[in-house]
Amino acid sequence: MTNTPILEIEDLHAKVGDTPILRGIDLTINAGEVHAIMGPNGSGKSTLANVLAGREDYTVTGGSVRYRGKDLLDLSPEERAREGVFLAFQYPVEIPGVSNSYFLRTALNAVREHRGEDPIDAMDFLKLLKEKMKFVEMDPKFQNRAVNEGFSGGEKKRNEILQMAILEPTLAILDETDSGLDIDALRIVAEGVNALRTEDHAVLCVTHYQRLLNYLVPDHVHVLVDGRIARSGDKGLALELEEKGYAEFDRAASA
Amino acid sequence: MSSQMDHQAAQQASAALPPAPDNLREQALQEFASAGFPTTSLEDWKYTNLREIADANLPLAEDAAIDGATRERLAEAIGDGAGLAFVNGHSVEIAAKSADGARLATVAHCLEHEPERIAAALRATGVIERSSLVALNSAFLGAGAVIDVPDDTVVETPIHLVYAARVSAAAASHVRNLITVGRNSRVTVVEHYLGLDDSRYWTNTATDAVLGDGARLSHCKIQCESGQAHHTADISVVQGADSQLHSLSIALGSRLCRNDIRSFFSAPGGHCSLDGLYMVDGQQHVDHHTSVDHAAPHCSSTELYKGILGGSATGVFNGKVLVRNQGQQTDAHQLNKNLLLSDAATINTKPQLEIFADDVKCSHGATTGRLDEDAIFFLRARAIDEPAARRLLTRAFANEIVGRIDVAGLRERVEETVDARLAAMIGSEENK
Ligand SMILES: Nc1ncnc2c1ncn2[C@@H]1O[C@H](COP(=O)(O)OP(=O)(O)O)[C@@H](O)[C@H]1O
Ligand SMILES: [Mg+2]
Repeated sequence: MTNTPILEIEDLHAKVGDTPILRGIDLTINAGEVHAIMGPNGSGKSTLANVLAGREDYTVTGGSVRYRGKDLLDLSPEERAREGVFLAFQYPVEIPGVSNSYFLRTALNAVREHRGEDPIDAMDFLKLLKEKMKFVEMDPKFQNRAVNEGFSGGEKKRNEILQMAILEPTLAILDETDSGLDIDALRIVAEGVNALRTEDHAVLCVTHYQRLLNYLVPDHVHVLVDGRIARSGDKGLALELEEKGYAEFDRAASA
Repeated sequence: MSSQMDHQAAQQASAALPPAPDNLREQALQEFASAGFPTTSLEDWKYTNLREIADANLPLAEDAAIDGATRERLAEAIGDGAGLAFVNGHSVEIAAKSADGARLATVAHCLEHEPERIAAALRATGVIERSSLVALNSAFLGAGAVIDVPDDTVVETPIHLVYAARVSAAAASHVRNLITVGRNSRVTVVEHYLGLDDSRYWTNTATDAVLGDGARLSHCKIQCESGQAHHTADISVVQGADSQLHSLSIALGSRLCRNDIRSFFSAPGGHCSLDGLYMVDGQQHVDHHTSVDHAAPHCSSTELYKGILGGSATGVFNGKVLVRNQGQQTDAHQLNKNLLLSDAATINTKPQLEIFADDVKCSHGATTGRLDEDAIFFLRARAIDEPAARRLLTRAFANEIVGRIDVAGLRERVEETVDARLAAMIGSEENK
């Protein structure tokens, strides 16, 4: 694999209100790599994911993020998405009154327009949707249901993977997409991610458990504690954490 | 018409019209003379002030010249349905399908040739207490439509009544629609109110509907009056045993709009669903007062009214449900949801439950809020820009009501109108 960086985070600081949450993050993800971020609850994993996606509740107070050489922090959330950044939400939002298929087509067309492509033909879209729904093993009836409305936790997560499969992002950020999933769903998430495991994609996978990593072997594992990366390693680190938990880091953080 | 002098003027104007059955005009004038215009001192009119029209002493609107473009708009509203069209309350000949099964005529025609059709409908709705504006409307009876559906008849073609307005000087028109649906019969009636320009006028409309046992009426009213207009409406429906009313009110236009929608269950087993969507901004004011009278047992009513308010607009929703002693096993549910697009927009929403029976299921709820910022971020994170995300969510909010229009072709047209209105409302919020 080449070493073209997709994402370069340097000394990133961010706060919510007056509370600093990210306190100096350094992380580089190269094309073709899958990175896992683990860490105790409240350590800032979702904050990092959301800052990368452009959520305005967080204020970046220092550092820089470059995405394919561009200043990511300078872009609006929609520009980031159009440039190929995708966040699979830890808590996907329900959108009553908007059908899943309309939503997906609108999103896809926004990306296509940005790339200078024509809107997708209605028939071609239905074909694509059918194929991708089959891939994530979702019942076709979900295409006409309102986005996430009344979906179970697992169905919402599958729906996130469906969106990812349709938008084919360059950088996918998964925020605990594995939480609360049964083995079947885990396998689907892993397959969705593995499909992006090519030269021109990269994945940042936030997870609390090692479970997903059995299906999805990460190239690098980082432990986030108290807004900083406390340790990095290979997949062996995930196994070690599974065994020992985060106690060691809690002590380090509170010391 | 607020003073004694004006009353005389009204009397003269009313007397100049063709005679109506049962001394209707004279009695109605009397009634209006003693009540006067509703004022904000009345509980039901606390938030809606009619002083401007009460003081204006408006003459009756005159016939306007009809050009080709106007004719096209009227025909477009009727679409491929049956119907009648009026400009300033005066009937305009328009080619339309016939409403097979139903007898459709203008009020003017019936006054002259079949006054008993008018008398019968008005006698039936006499059980419902209405505002003095309806009395004033009766005094000036002349514009409008009479629809009679005999027993055991399904009228497949929707009937559109189009009331367009364009005046050269401020004027009033009083529109009356009288609908009688026979036993086990079914009909769809759509009332359109269209401002053809931005002139100032007052439309005071009243609809009386009588549903026989097992009858079904789907009634849809679409109000797109001029932004300078006042629009007052009273829809009163008497429901027979096991009858069904679906009423849908879409209010987009006029500077002031008041809709009273009333259903009276005269026999067991009836159902009504009352739905509405109002979208107002700028200085607009919109008021829906609904009233469901459960005077018979085993009847059910559901209400869903949704409002989108921007600018300095004001909205009112008052949902009255009366369950009388004999209204056992009533099932009545009511919900009012409002979406505020600006800080200055306000809504007054109030359920008014008066329950005298003990075995009833009643619920009510009201919500008022802004667009969900988490949903906006979610859409933006899926490449949809912020204005588009706001439009999408607002449209979805409105579509819950628009989606209930079950008239072929009409839903799509209303969707377009609502979309255009939305784009304008969201656009004006962004430019502030
Ligand atoms: N929008 C917010 N408002 C207030 N506090 C927040 C917000 N988002 C996160 N936090 C706080 O920041 C810390 C990190 O949260 P988060 O990034 O969600 O952690 P993780 O995903 O690792 O569990 C927590 O203490 C949390 O309470
Ligand atoms: Mg989290």
